[in-house]
Amino acid sequence: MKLEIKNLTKKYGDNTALDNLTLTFEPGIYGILGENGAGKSTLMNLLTDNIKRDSGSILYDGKEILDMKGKYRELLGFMPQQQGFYENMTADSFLHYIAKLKGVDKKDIDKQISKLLSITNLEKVRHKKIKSFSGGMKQRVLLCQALLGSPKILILDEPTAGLDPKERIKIRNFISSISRNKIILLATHIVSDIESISDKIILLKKGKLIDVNSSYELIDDIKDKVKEYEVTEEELPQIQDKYKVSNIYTKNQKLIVRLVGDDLPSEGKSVTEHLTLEEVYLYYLAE
Amino acid sequence: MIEFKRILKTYSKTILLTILIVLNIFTFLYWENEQYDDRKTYSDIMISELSKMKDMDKDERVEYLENANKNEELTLSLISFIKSTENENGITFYEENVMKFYNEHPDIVEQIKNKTIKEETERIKQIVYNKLLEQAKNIAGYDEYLDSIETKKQELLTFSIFNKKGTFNYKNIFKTAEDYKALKDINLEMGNYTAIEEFANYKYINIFLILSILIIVFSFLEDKKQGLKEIINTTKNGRIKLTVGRIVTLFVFCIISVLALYGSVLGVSLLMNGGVADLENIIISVSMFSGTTLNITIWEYLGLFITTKILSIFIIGLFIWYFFSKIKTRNLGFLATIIIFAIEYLLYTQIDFNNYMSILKVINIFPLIFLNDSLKKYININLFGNPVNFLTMIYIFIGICFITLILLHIFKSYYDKRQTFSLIEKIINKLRTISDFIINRFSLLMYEIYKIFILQKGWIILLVFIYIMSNYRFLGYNGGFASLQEQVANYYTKEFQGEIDSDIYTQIDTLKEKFEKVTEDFKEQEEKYKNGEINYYQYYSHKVDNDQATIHLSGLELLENNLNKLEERSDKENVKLWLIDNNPYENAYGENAKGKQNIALIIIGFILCLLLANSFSFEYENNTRMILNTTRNKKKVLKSKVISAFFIATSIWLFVTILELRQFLGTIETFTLFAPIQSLEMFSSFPLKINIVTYLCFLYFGRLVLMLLITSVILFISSKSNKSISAYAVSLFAILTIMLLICWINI
Repeated sequence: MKLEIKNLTKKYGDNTALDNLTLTFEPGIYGILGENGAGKSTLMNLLTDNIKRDSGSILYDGKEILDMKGKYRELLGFMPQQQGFYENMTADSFLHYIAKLKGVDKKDIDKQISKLLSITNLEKVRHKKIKSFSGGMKQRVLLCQALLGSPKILILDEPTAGLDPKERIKIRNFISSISRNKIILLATHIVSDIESISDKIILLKKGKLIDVNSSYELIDDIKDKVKEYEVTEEELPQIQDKYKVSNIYTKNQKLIVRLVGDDLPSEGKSVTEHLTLEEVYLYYLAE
Repeated sequence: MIEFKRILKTYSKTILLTILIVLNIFTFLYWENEQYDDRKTYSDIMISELSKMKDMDKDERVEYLENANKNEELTLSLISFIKSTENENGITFYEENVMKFYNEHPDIVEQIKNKTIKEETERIKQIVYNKLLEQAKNIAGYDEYLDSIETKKQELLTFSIFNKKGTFNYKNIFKTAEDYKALKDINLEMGNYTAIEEFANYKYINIFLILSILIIVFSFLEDKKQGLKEIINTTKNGRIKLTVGRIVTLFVFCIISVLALYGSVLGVSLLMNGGVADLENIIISVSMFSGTTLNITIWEYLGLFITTKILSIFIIGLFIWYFFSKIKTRNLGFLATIIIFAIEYLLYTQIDFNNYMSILKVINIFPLIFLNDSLKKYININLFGNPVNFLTMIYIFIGICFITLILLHIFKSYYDKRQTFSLIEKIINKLRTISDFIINRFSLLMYEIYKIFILQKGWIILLVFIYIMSNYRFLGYNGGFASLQEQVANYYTKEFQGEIDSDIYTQIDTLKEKFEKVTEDFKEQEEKYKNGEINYYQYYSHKVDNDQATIHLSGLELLENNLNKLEERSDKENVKLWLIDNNPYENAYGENAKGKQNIALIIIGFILCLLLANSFSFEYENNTRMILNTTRNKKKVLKSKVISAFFIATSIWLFVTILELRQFLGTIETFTLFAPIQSLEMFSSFPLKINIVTYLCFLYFGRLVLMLLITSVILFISSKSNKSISAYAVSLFAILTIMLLICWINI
């Protein structure tokens, strides 16, 4: 099973949202990291054929997805960033509707829905109207509908937005548990969500691909790009303006800043251990 | 002030309120009685007659108006008579008093013949005289009426059930007599009270008034809906101060709404009908208010009415606001409000004033809604054995509600605990489980219909549509027959409807013989009367028979002419035509029906827009478009939307067709449907040789095609819109343009 993107480009007027993107996805979890406007949602919408591309191709097992049409959509599960429901429907009836749209076998619908509602802790409120749900509960309903039909390609745009830490961990673990024989794309700002479960992380900046690698490799690449400095309170604002600051803390009553970047002052102390994906994010993606 | 500005700045609300004011005026103008179209003539005649009677006393006015009314009746009869003589085969059969009037007033006859006197004007005059006569009799008889109350008091006190001291009945008799005694020497005047009567009778304004207050009340509830309530509650001015501000805002909007809605209606009515000067007269001078004991001028009455109405609508607004803020969901709030209003209405209409439970008729929102009805009554309510005037009770009720509701709102703003009504919630949950069970078995097509009627609240539009069309008269009216001859000819046409054969002619000949014998017989009797052999009454009885026979003979003659024309056309067009009563067909499908059909078409187009314009834009607005687009059955969704829209359009077509046919088929003999279409005068040149029922099938099928075309246009517009409001606006504009074009072509 392989999903390939070749020279994919999408423009909105003068703004290039995706610029000649080429990627290959095989079964596993891919985290897509990027700032607002990096092109994450555009990529998601192109993969789900919700918007038209300007150029390039998207191939599933060598076949263009636009030619596959319904057969491709059979494989898809999509959770968009914007919450979209019929709010006057109950969670149960909404999921039944989506299941029918996805062509899920009638015999399996109830079983799948019950299982998903149980995993997402919505079993007790399944017959309540969605409009009475909190933001986090609505997010979980969205996730359930994406998972209906056991899709082979799961595209999740900000899946854990609005969830508390316990719920986020549960969802993360669940995604991890179902990732075998699936291609899962996870777009998010929350670095910790993808750090532990992603096989590969895709870094996008202003529509361009910066890097694709495992989190371990990415962190290893910036080993010599992180230094710590002792500064005064008066110096701090200047430093924050000039460099990318990943952490500020106090040790033995001294103010320590951790900076990330290429042209850092030489007198700092190099940090090579306990680096995080946030520092990778800062290094590659922050302005 | 902040709340007031916030609401005004929400342009959609300001626009909605403006639309309500405009709609209110149009409804008032459309609702207004259709006895006459020419208001200017009506008010000119009214003013002229009033000035003629200015120096007359009460009894002289009554006499003058009675004579004028009688003369007017005769003039109208004379006009009909002269019209009938102008017909080729006119009949001169009218009552003797009309003939007498004809002979005595050659000047009027001349004016009718040269059209100086017009029928419509005379009809309006008669309406004016009737109205003024009613007024004059009320005023003339008012003193007597007051005396009769005193007399009645003495009579009632002779009965044991009324003369027990300390009882309600006893006190009521005395109170009533005292209250009316105070009106002994009031000065009642005749005047042009049309404007005030129309103003008092116009009840639909209450709907617009309540809608306008609902707009304001729901704007207060917006923070609950949008999740802002928690934020606002934690601010310094977010509780009691905000509530007080809102109460004041509601009161101000009540003043604005009442003044705008009632003021515009009164202004329009006074402009159309005149009578501003007469507003200085005592309100009891107006016939509909003759039972009240309010000794105030009409101006003062209007002031009292407006003030009371402002307070009434304010109370209703406070109540609805409190109610909705305590109930969790808006739908439940609506349901509960409807139930309460329904119970209140039942109590208001079903309980008699004499009943011991009559207090429930007063402690009720409907006397506040139908305020004019409340103000023009004189009734005393039994309040713990004491007679208290109905009006006084209403003001006490307003006062109590005012204080209670304001305190409740202030208390609620300080400590707001949302009611859970756990038992209701359990019931609702159970109902939802059942409804989910049903919904989950829907096909994709049924889901689309569910989205339109349930999720988009299309059921409300459907109910309104069913109500309007069920009460709609599809058939036109041919304005009656120009003459008795035509009337009689039509009678025999109905009798002999069907294929034209020798049988018809035989029957006509038999009837002609019968009636000719009567006329011949009359000639003999006339001779005998002239010779004194029979008296007048014997002669008169034969005369009546002769007159009848003459009409029937001329009717039969007309029928024979029609038959001959039909036979000529049959030969020319090589089609065996039938004799058919054309009127029902004209009224349903001819010129007479065009206006009705056009209005029905516009209503249907409007309803289709409201139901279907949001089909696609609904998915945009709910952000479900992306999810639907990524599913396997994406194309099925599109197909289902189209099929469901066509299904709804077809159902509407079927419903309207059944209603129309039901009305139409009740006016014809069904076998005539199988007549050749050319048998109908309006289709005499129809090129195809088909029968009427085949034509109707094509006609109705054509209408179905038109409906489906309209539906296609609406769906197309919806698919291009990503906002509901633009989908509705563009669809309505497009469809109404098409409808008006069709109507114009039709005309």
